[in-house]
Amino acid sequence: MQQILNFLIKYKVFLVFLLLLVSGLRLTFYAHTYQNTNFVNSTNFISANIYSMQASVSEYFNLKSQNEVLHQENKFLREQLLNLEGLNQLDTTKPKITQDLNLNDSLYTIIPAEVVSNSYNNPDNYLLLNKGTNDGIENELAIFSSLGIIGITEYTSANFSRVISILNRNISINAKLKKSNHFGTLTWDAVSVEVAKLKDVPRSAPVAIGDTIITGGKSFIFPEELPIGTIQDFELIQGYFEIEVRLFNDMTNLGKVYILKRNNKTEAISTLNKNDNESE
Amino acid sequence: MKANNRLYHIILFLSVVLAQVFIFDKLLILNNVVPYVYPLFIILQPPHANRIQTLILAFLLGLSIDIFQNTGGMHATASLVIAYFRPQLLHFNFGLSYDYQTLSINNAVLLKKISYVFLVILLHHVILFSLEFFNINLWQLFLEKLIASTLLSVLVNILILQLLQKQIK
Repeated sequence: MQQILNFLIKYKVFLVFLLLLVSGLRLTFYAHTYQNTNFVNSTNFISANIYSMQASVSEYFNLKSQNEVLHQENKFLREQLLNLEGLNQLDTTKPKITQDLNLNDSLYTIIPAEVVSNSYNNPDNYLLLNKGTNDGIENELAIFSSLGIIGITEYTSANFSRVISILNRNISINAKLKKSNHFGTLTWDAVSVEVAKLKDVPRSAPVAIGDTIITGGKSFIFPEELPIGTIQDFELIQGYFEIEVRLFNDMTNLGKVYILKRNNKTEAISTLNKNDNESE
Repeated sequence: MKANNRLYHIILFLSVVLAQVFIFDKLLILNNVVPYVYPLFIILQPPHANRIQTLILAFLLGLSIDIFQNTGGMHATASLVIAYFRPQLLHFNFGLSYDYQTLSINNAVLLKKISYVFLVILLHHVILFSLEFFNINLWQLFLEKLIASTLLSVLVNILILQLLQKQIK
């Protein structure tokens, strides 16, 4: 007993170091697994509120560029609306779309949110949004802006939610070429904040520099045809194209974003699981 | 530790965390290279401070950065390791004046100060980036980021040290 006590006293600094080192490494390993239920994250009360205070000040500096983006989006939506009305007036045999829209039956709900904190310097990046479970946010919802996709919600507290950014090595998103519907997987290789990688595109795809990449819609998270970026460069590796995609979004300057909620998601997933069980 | 001294350390702790999170993390120099200033807190601990206390403070310091950055425990681990090896680094750099307890980092020769800060930052960055990348295939990216970030961090840390020193005098 005496010897054990002596040992503890003699090596107490080392033992404290070892204890803290193990807990630090444990937290690190958790952070590297996808879907971590890690309590060390910025959705907690103190850091989230400090971040939102800071965001409320710094958003004034981005007002001009944010306004420009919203203006462009308004222009685009107005054009679509006017063209749609024009079509309706021309063709009286088709049902009018402008009326009879029943919101209870709508497929998607869009919740506007603001980026409170944004990281882009690490190999695995996250965003913090100022909407949480109180606003109906769940895990695994799509985040996008008018320019393109941004990420997926991953952890929600009452008033804040953490988003796994597309600049994160754990994310993989189904994407396709706009021109030809060839699918691939969008990932990030931690090299540049402007460029993501689209992998596993079959060699028969007509890949050309400057072509547009959009979401493929083969998942319950992202709907089809949200913009992602344009092809900057590509190479053929083992029969598949590996494409460098220049993102439409400037991931270092994000302000207002949209959270997309698919209203029939639970139904769709339970149907899918049912089929799986039956086939087994 | 006197009351005055304790207050100084609390303020130092809070200011390095806030400066790191709100100023230096927002900089985007040379494609995602960030200067890390929070190791300054460990550099500025008294040379013969209680070791267990230093270890716990260093761990909490890193954890605060982790909470803001969503990085798990990477900063906590890196910051803990430099706190643990601090006596060895001090002895290596300052030799006798450290051993005889007459050392004051603020009054040391600039060259020795730079080499001490460089070693602390290098050790910190090696641990931090290897935990961050966590993938041997990315070693080229790791080296690039390590070299660029170390140089930048040392520069910024030395500048802040010199400014603080002027304030104290």
